[in-house]
Amino acid sequence: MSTPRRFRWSALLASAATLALLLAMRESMPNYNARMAPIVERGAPGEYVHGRRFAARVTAVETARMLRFAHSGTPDSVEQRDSSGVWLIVQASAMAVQEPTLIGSAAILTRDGRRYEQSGRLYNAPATLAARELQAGVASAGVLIFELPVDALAGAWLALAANRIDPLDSELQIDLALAAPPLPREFYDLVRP
Amino acid sequence: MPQLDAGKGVDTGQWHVVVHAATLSARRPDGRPAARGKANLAIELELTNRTRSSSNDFATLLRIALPAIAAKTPPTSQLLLRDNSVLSSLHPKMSERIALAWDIPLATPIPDPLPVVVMSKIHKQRDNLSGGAGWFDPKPMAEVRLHVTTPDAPATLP
Repeated sequence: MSTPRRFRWSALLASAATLALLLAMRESMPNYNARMAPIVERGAPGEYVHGRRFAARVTAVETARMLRFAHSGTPDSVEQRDSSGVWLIVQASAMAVQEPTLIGSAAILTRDGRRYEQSGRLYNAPATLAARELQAGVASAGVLIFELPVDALAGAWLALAANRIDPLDSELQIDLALAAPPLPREFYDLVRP
Repeated sequence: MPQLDAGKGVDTGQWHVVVHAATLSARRPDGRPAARGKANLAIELELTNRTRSSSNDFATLLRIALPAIAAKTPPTSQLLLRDNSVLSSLHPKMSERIALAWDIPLATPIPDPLPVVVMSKIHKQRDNLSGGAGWFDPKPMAEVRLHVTTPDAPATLP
């Protein structure tokens, strides 16, 4: 005759501890976005910041309430764009490191942790720096254009990457030195900057 | 489902939405004609991005209770009414008045008022596929009943 199996508190405690450990591991493990986050290279305005595929330098930053631009190839078709916030125009130069590449992602990172992608409202405007193919060792200058609330300007950084959806590659983050943002001018003219 | 008055706002989590008006016209809100044999139903709304990054995840924000517009049909045009340009993304904390517009067959009967459902998504820190953060699982949140104006209709005689 077999003896009845006794309830073992030690087995229950061990199972509970294992479950708690597994839960803690699951909750403390970085999610996909964190594990696949870009490799950040930080720099100051005026200096070249180097990533794996390209290097970039911010030369000037301006703000404006309105933008004026002409359609690419038709200089008479001038349009203007206002904003519910302010236009931020970053003048920069960039060059590829080894082979031709594009700046596939340009964004502004604000002090409160928000990310403002470059504006898509300048349809058919002349190419910004982010749309030009960069050649190795040849500096190419241009503008990058963003729209953001006026109160988000202070402390903003520029973030540039070769590809927005290509993880584990360089992202250049460049301080725009906007502790005291410049007063926005009425117009920024992309036709005759 | 909770009813919402036109012009009253609702937070979906991802967006603050204020549905304003509906228009049925031979032209889209930017002035371009609707497709041949079709009219354009445009819903005008104000959107504010409440998330941390620029987003264009608004194509399925509204569900129109018309058989001519299947549940997940994206709008024929998405326009920024500030300058009638094609809407690409909306940036955080920047409210904009926009139009989501669908071309529908000319003979489509339009109920008056027209039920328009505002959809909401939930934020997951880890989604079920890759473990990444995002907005998922759209669900109806509130219904707005809109009187549809028809600016092209001939003026009725007194």
